[in-house]
Amino acid sequence: MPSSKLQATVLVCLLACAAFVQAAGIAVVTNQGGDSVSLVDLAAAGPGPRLLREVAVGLAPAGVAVDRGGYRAFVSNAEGRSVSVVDLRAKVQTLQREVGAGPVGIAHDPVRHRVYVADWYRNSLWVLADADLSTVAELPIGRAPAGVEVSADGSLVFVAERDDDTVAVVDAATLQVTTRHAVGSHPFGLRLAPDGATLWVTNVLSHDLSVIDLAKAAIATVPVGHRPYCVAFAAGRAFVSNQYGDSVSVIDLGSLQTVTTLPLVTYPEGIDSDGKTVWVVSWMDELLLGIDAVSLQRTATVPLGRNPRGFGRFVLAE
Amino acid sequence: MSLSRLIAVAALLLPGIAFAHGPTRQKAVESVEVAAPANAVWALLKEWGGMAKWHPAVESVTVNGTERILNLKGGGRIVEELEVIDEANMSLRYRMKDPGPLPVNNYSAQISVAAIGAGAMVNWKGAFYRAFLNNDPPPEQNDEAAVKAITGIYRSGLEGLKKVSEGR
Repeated sequence: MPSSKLQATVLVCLLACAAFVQAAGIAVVTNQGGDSVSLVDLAAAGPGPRLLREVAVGLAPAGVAVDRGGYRAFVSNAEGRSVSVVDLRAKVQTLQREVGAGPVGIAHDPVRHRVYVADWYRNSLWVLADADLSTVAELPIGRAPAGVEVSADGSLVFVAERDDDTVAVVDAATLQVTTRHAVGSHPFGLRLAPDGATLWVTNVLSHDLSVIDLAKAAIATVPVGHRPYCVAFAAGRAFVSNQYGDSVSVIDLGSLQTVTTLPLVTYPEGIDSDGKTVWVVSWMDELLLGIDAVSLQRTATVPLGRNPRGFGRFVLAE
Repeated sequence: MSLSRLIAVAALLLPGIAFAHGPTRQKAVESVEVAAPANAVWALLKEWGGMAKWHPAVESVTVNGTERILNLKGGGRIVEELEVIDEANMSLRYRMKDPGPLPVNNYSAQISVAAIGAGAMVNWKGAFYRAFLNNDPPPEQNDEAAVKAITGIYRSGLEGLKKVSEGR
């Protein structure tokens, strides 16, 4: 191989490798007061994490669920009474469809190609086809359903029934509620641990978490800060956003002990992780904060739109 | 009892009902620069029963432990609960137990002072829901009405605080 060609090959490889290392992912944060989502490039190298674009969606978006395979995000527009699809490559809304009376929590299942949406006012769970958001079914569920989560294999759907203080487990094949777990007061956000064995539920009014061992149906209660909103996982730890505590609780996954409580995040709400960095939405200060999951140091601060929430899985890690 | 009054009372009896999604949480954020030392402004602010000294809408304050009742000029009262006083960050957090005449629910707020040179910057940040708990609120109980009411209180309060702090 002539040396010039070798050099060119090496150069291409270096560029490709550099691009690969830099691509950390994208965050899709709902701005409830801006009727939009902020798309944030999470790349740590180069200029660092930065806002790519604020994309208009429906009225008062709250919930979000990213879809890695489709490189898109599903967004619940709470006041628009609709669900939007945002194409993350084109960075535009490609579809919006009316769904129920008060769509809040939203989750995507790439196995059955479905989107699940909790309807706050109709006390139901919508099952939509992810291709066109057409309705597959509407299931009656508990009162004021909030967070929704799907198991990795798509077989189970979990719904926080806030006003019943329960979490419903729905069999995705039969679309029947098979189990109800009694949790703390006003469950809101919920997330499966990385191994899928435990479901972590934030109880807003009892200021704690219910950690449900799904195989044993045993529940541990873990105290956290004031009015916890949601949970994310990284580096063997759970990170809980305490809305009125202005803090993030860091909990060891094995011992369920609180490692520390990180202060000075005003009204933290949506929380998610790319495995290395925990991303927290500050509703009051309208910022996306990056916190290193190991050192617990803040590594990034990115401005968001008005009254951001980011309720759900809003980080698409690459 | 009017429907709106009934709903306001129901909201007080069921403290959880107005919380979280449903109506969307609103905010008001206002600040003012004061030509006085931050410590002096903070001393005025953190006095839990001292609001009548600087807020033009407050006639008098009754303190019961961490609770205070703001007796408003022209009638009406607001009941508030102190949550945290953070001396290190000159920051105070409280919530409303009874919003009185204000068209809000589940109100909580933070007021803080930062030193800027020889002067101070005061930041007042509030989070709350509108008075109407369901879809399709009447205009006097919608999000705009709630934001307008709280923003008005912050602006007049911060102007009053500035005047008193600067000895005007």
